[in-house]
Amino acid sequence: MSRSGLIGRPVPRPDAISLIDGAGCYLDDVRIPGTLEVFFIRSPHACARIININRSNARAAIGVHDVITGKDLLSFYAPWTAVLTNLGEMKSAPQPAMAVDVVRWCGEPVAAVVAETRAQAEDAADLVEFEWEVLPAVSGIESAAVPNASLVHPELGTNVAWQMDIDNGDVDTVFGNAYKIVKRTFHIGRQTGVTLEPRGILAQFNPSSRHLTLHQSTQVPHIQRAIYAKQLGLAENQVRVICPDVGGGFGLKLHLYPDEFATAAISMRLCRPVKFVADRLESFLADIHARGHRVDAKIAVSREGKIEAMIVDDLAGAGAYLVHPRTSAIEPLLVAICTPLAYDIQHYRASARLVYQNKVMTGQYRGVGMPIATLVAEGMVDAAARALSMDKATFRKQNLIPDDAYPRTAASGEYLERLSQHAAFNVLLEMMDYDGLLQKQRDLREQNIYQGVGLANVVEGTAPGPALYAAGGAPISSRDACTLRLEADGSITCATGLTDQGQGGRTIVAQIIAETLSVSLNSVHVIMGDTSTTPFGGGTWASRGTAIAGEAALRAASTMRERIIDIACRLQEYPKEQLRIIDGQITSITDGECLMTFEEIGRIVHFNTHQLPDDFEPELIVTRHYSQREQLLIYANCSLGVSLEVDIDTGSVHLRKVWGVDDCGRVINEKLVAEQMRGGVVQGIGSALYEECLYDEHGQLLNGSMVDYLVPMAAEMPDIECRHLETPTQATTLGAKGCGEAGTIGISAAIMNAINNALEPFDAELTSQPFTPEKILRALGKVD
Amino acid sequence: MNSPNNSCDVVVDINDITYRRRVLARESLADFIRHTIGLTGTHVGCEHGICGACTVKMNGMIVRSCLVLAVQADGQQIKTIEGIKASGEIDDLRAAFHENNAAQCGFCTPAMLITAAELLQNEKNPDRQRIRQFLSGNYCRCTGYQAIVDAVEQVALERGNV
Amino acid sequence: MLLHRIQERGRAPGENFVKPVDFAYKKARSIDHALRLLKENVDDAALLSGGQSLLPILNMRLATPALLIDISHLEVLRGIERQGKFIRIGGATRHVELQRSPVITHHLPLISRAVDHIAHAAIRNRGTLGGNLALADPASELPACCVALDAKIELTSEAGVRQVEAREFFIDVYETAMKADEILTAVTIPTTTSNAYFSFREFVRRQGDFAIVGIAVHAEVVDGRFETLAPAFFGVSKKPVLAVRSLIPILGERFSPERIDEVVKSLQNEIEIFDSLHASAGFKRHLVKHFFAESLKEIHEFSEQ
Repeated sequence: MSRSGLIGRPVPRPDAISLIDGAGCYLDDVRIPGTLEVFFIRSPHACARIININRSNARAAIGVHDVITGKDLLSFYAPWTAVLTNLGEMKSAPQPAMAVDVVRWCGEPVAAVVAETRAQAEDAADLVEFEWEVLPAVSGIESAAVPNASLVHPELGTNVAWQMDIDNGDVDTVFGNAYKIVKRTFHIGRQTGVTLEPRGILAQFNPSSRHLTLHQSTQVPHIQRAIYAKQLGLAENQVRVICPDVGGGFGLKLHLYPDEFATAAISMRLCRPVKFVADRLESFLADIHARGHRVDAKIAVSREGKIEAMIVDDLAGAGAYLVHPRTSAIEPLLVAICTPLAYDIQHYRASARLVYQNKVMTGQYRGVGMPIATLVAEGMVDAAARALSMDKATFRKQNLIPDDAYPRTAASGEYLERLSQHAAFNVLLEMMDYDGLLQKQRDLREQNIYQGVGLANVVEGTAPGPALYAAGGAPISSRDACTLRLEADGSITCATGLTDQGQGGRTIVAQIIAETLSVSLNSVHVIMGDTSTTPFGGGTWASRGTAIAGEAALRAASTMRERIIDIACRLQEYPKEQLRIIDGQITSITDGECLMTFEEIGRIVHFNTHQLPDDFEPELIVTRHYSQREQLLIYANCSLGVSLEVDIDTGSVHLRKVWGVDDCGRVINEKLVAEQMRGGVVQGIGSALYEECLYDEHGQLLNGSMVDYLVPMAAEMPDIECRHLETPTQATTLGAKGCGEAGTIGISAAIMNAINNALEPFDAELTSQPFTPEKILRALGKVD
Repeated sequence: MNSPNNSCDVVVDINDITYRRRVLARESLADFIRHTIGLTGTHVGCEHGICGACTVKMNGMIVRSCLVLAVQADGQQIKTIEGIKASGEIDDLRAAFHENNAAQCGFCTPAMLITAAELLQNEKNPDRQRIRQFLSGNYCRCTGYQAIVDAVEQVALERGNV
Repeated sequence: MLLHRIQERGRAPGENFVKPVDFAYKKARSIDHALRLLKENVDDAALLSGGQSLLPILNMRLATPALLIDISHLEVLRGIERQGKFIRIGGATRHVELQRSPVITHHLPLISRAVDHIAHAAIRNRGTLGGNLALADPASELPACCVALDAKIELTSEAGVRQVEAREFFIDVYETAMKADEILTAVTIPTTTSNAYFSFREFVRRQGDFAIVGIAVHAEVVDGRFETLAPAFFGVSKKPVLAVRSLIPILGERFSPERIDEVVKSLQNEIEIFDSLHASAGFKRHLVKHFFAESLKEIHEFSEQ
C-alpha cells in the first residue's frame, strides 16, 4: 500500500461540480418523448372496504388516457409478500400495488389517473367517485397489540407480525441479587425521512421487445431490477434500471413502493412511458415511516457502578404491511441485538415485537433501530449514574468494553471484531472539555441558567453480510463489484455496483483506484447506477459503500496494476520486479527511466495488436468482487457529546455545540466522513427535538406538509466538531468500516441525556422523543 | 371551471434570453422554467413555498418560483442557476461550496447558492449566525448546514478583504 | 370569493393535490378595473397580491377560483407615506418594502420588528401587507400589530371606500370583515410618539415559522405609569386578541411585579386559548403569561431609561 497519495486525502468531490452548477439530472429532469404522468388517488380512510369506484366522468376529462383501478392492474403483476425466513416465523400478507377490495392505510393508492400532464390528472382525479364501507382501524402500537384489537389482516389471526427473544446468561438471578435496579420506559415517535427530492420513477415498456426500462430515484438499482422483474413476470435481463442523480436517499429509496411499482405495471398496460413523481404531500403519506417504538428497559447495577444485567422489551409498529423486501422487522431486531453492544455485560434478555397498524409501512431509515438502541442504552446508563450519584463519564469508563478485549461476543450474541471505545471516548471528553462544561454548568445554575451536557457511545453496525437479508430469502446483495477498463488513450473507466446519493462513494472509489494505479484522480471516471452498464452490486445502504465496494475497487485496481506491469514487462522485455508505476507511467526502479505510458499500452493493446507477442492476449478489463460473509454486521464505534441550554420558561432547547469522535476503520477522505457525521447528527437532531408524524384517532396523518412536520433548518443547528480514529477491520485489505449513520444513531441519546442533565436540579426527566418544549415544561410542572 | 382557454401569451427574459410562450394561467414559474423552457437546475421540493429548492431571482430579488405564476413573470427578468453561474458572479461561492463539500446530493444546492449570493450582495461581513438565519428558508437534509455556512463565511471574508 | 371556506374544507385525508384547478388570469389595468372584475365574479374570483399565501392554497386545491385578478402591480396600492400623525401603507406593499422603509423604522418600530419574523427573505420579497391581513391567519404577526396599534383598514369596492378598525376587522380563522367584492387598499396607523413603547415576542420552533404564541404590545408610559396598554396576542385564538379587561388594575398605575401577577391571572379568563397541532392550550397559557410579564417588564425598563 502506498504511503502517500489519494487514500486518506480529503479531496473535494470531482462529481460535485456538476451538481453545484445546477447540471445534475434527477428523475424529474429525464425526458422521454410521449411520457404520460400518473397521479394516484389515495384512500382517505385508514381501513375501509371499496364498494364502488365510478370513473366515467374522469375518463372523459381532457388529456386523460386511462383511469385504472387495483383490479385492472392485477393481470400485469403478482402481489408480493415480504418475509425473511432467517428471523423465525413472520406473519405477512400479500401486498397489492393498488388496493383491490380493502384499503389498510390512509394514503394507500386506490386508483391511478394517467394523463398528458399532472395537472390534468389531478383535475380528473377530482371526478372519480368512491363508495366506501369504513371499517374499524387500529392506529397506535399499544392498541394494536392488545388481544381483542381490530385485525389489520384478519386472515393472519393476529396483529403480531413477528417477535423474537434473546436470553443470555442468568438475568433473573442477577436481578434478584442486584444492589440497585433502574427502570425506564422510552417512547420514540414515528417519523419519516423527508428527502428533498421526492421519490420518482419513469417506466418505459417496449411491447415489441418486451423490455422494461425504469429510470428510478433509487439507492439499489440491481435489487429493484430483481424485484420488478420477478413481480412483473419478466426475466432480469429484460429489465433495465437506471438511477439518475438522486436527491437524498437515507434508506427511504430502498424499498418496493406500491405506487412506483404500479407505474411500471401501468406502462406495460398502456405501452407508453409513464412517469410518477411523488409530490411533497404524498411523500409524507406514502414514504416509509420509521421508529414509532415503545421500549421498556431495566438494568441492574452494583454498588460500585458496574452494569450487571439488562432487560429490554421493544414494541414496534410495522404499518399495514411488511415493507418489501427487507421487512419492517429489522428495526426491532436491531433494537434487540444492538442495545447492549457498547457495554461489558454478561446477562441480557431482550424481546422484540412487531405489530401491524392501519398506517403506512415502516422501513429502513438512517440508523435503522440503532438510534433507539442507543437512546435506551445511553439513557439507562445516565439514569443509573444518577441513581448512584456517580459522574456519567466515570460510569461509562467503568462499563465500556475495554479496548483490548476483542474479538468479543456481546451480551446479545453479536460478534464484535474490534472497537476503540475508550480511545474515542477519551478524545471526546478532552475535545469538549467535559470537566470545564460541568463547571460552567454549576456556575450558571446560580444565575438560574440551565445548561446540560450529554454523552452517548455508539456501536454502529455497518457493511452487512448475507446473514441479514439474503439468508432470509431477500434478493439483497452483500457483495459488490468493480469493473475497470484501461481506455485506448490510457484513461481509466470504472463501473461499480455502488451508488451515490451525495455521500461521495464515486469519489471514494476513484481515490482508491487512482492511488492503486498511481494516476491522477481526474483520469478515473466512475459509472454507477445503470444495471446494463455496471456489474451486479448491492447499492448504497447500511454504511456499506466504502467497506464493500471500496474493497472490490481496491482488488480490481490491484489486479489491473499487475496486468499493466505484466504487459509492459512483456513488451519491453524488462524484468517485472524492476518495474513500477508512477503517475501513469511504467518506470524502471533502477534508473527511473520511463519505459511506457498508459496511453502507449492502451494504443498497442486496442489497436496495434501486431506489436504484441503471438501468444499474448492481454485483458485490460478487470472485474473483481468482494463479499462480506463472516459477520452479520461489521461494527464501528463513535462517541458523541453535546452541550445545550434549556430555557425553563419556554421549554426551548438551544444547542450550543456537538462533538463527535468516529472510528470508521480507515478514513479514505476525511472531508466526506466528517460530512456524513454532521449530516447524520442534524438528521438525528430532527428526530430528537422536532420530528414526529402525528395522527388522529382515525389513523389519519395530521401534519403531512412542510408547514406542520418540522425538519431541522439552519438557524437552530449547532456547529459540529469531528475527529477520527482508525481501527481497521481485518475482513478486508482496505480495512474500512462504515461511517454514514453514526451521527444519527447517537445524537438523540446525547440530547436526551443533556436535557435531563440540565433539568436535574428540578428532578425532572424526559424519556419521550421528540423532546419538545411542551414536554419539558410539563416535566417541570409548569403546564396544567 | 374546466375551460381549456385559460391561457396567456407571456414574454419572459430568462438569463438574458427572451422567451415567448403561451402558458396556462395555472402554470407555476417553476414548472415553466423546468418543463416549458427546459432549464432543470431549478428544483421542486414541496410546491408550498417552504423548502426553498425552487428559489430563483426575479428582477434581482430571490423568490420562490413555486409561488409565482408564469403569467406573473410576463415582462419580468428571471435568473436561474444556469444564468447566474454563466455570469461568473458566484464563481467564488461555487468554488467555496466545492472545497468545503457543501453539496452532497446537490438538490438544494442551486437554491442555496442563489440565496447565499443575495445575502452577500446585501450585507457585508455577515457572521455565522446571520448566515444561518438567512439560509434558514432553505432545507437541506444531507449536509447538516455547517459546510454550507463555512463556505458562505469563507466567501464573505474573501470579499470583505478585497 | 372569500377564503374562510378553507377552514370548513381543510385538506381532506389522503389528499395530495399540488396543481391548481384551471383558472383564468386577468392583470387589472386599474383599481376600477379590478373592482369591476371582482364585482362581476364575486363568487369565484380571488385577488392575487403577493401570492405567498394564495398560491399554496390554490396548489393544494383548498380554494378553486375560476378567475385570478392580479392587483400586485397597481401603483395606487403601493407606497408608504406619512400623512400628519398617521402612516398610510398601500395594500400591495411588500414585506421587504416595510423592512427597508425608514418611515416604518422611525415611526412604526413595532411593525419594523415584527416583519423580520415573517417567513424568509424569498417570501418577504413577494408577500404583501394587504394579502397578509386579508388572509387573517391567527398565527400571523401583522394582524396582531395592527390590532395593538389601533390601525384602520381601508376597504374599497365599486360602492365606495370604508374604514374598518383593525380591532373589528379580524373575525375568525381566515375570516375578516371584508366583503367578497372589496379590495384592501390601504392600512393607516398612528405614528409612534415620544412616550410610546413597544414589545414584540413570539414563540416558534424554528426561525420564520408561524408563531405558536406571540404578543405585540403598544404602550404609552408617562411618569412610569401605563397610560395606554394594548397587548395583542396571536397564535392563541382564532384571531388576534387584544387584552382589555384584565389590564384595568395596572392602567394609570406605576409598574409593580405584584400587579403584573394579578393581571396575568385574569388574562386567562379574558383570552380564550385553543389547542393547536404542536401546542396544547395549557402550554400556550403558560407562554402567554410568561411573554406578557416579560413584555411589561421590558417596556417598563425602557421607559425608565
